[in-house]
Amino acid sequence: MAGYTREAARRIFAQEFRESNLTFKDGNDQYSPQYLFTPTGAKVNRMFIVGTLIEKEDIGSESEYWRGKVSDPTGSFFIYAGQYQPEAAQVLSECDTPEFVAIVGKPSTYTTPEGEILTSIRPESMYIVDGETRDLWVLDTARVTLERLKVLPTSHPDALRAKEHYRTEAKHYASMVLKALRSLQEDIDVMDD
Amino acid sequence: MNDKYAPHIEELSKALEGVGYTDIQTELDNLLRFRVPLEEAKRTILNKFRPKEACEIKIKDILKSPKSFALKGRIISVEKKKIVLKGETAYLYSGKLLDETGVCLFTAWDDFCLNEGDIIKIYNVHMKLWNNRPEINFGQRSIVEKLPEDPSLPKDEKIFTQTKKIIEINPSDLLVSSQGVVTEIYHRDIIVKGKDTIIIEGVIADDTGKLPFSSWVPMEGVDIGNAINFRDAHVRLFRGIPSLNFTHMTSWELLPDNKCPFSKNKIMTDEPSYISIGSVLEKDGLFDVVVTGNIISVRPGSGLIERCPVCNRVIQNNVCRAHGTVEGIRDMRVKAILDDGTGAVYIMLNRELSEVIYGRSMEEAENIAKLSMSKDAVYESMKRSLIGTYLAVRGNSSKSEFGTTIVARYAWVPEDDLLSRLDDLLLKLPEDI
Repeated sequence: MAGYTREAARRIFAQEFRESNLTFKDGNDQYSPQYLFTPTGAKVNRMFIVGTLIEKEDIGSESEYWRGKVSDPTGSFFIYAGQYQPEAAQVLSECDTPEFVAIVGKPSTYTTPEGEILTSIRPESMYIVDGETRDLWVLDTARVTLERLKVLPTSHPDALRAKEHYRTEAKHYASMVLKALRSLQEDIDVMDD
Repeated sequence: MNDKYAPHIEELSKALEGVGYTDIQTELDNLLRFRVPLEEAKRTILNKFRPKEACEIKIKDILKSPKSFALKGRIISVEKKKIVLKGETAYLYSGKLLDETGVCLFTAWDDFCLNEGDIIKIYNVHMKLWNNRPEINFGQRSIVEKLPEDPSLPKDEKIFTQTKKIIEINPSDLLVSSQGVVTEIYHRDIIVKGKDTIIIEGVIADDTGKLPFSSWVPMEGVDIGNAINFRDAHVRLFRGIPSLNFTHMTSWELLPDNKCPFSKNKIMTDEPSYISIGSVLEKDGLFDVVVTGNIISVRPGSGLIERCPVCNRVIQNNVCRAHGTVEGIRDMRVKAILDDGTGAVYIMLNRELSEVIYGRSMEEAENIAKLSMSKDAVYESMKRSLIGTYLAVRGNSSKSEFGTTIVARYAWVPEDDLLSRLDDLLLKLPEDI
């Protein structure tokens, strides 16, 4: 049946998210979804991340406006939650750091006066989870990133677009995945000892 | 009338062949007297007199049909059905129509004196999707013209039966041939029109998928583990999922092991197949699938609910939409969105599954609600414990205008061997980094 389909939540590592700077709209309608296009060719309208909340700060002046920093094995994500993200704002105001959190949200970008593009996440929901969920997320994200890297040398439209805009080097992101997996391996070894 | 309009009337009568000059003149005269601008008046006349030629289509193009069309075909079955509409009894006629390109279901909302075997040409009918299946609808404005026997129209819909693998069978098929292994079979006594009848129900599978089947005719010698080859089974729809129906039109025979194109043992012992949510979304309905993903949202309507004791509908404040004020039955459920990165589906968990996944019994949930004096407290608590978690769900999927839903028959937290998955991934990395 035609019509509305929910956008799938993409899994992206922090490093790749930070290195993304291309946004576009699919179609000209005001309701057309907005996408962040990443260097390995993921079209992100909604994303799902699980990581460690390592910093949180209320940077709002009148009403609460929370900034949080969530780290994964490759870097960290910034999240911003104000009155229109009540669920996430509440969790941020109540929780301690560090804590494992799962976040579903939309990517957003900000262009600095110097022209640099910064990415952050506007969370739809945010909850505290356990360490195993975090480990599984790292595995899942590693798997789908590798799948995208496999498509990159082909002439798939997303792959062509990624290569044209970012001149993506597969090696760069393969080593990011390796880094993530190695750190997970160490985490598990530490737990087993 | 002024002579200066003569060339326009001339022009109109050329465009409208067969319409009298004076008719056009009177019409134009009338419109002009009512101060209609000349150009607009000419367009109005063209519209009024132009023969409404409906475009004629063939059944194979039914999905691309214009809003209203004409079609020629043979009625191969028709059945009168009684319906109650807003308290009034009405009859409608439904059946199947074929032409030289295919078969299609139809519904006539009026009595057009249709009989099996009639060759008809119908005008001003439209196509509607019913359960994701195209249907021709005859309405008040439709015209039926009966035609003499036409040998170019086939008499039997069986010539359109396609042979397919199980996974390929979809709602637009009416008759289908295939082969598979019977993995479940049971007999059920039902009463049809006052007569005791035994029907056979079960599941049939091949190496691509499985579907439920039912048979109204005895299937002697068929048991679990038998492979069969069948021709001309009807495809029915139940909650968006195709099911196979064996009737007197269907023929079948047991398939000896050496003629099986698939491994019987493998199918019999096969665990349900895990598939990506993206591929679930591509199909209108799938029977018995397993998906895994993260719960990324718990929807309103989850938590403690009350149901109508008569119809089982969810009710609010003890008032049922259909049965008025009733004493509600307490229940608990989870409605959530499961996402694996390839797509997202709604999942529905009943009380038993909710209790296991949420980790609290309904009584405990009621205590939470009592302590905080709010039913929302349970919903909030479900969100806290469920969002982000990994979950595997097994059940049937069906698609509606609101999205694709899997009603869970089983749900569990997948037990993952982290280390072995990690090693697999490390092996997949390119060597030169």
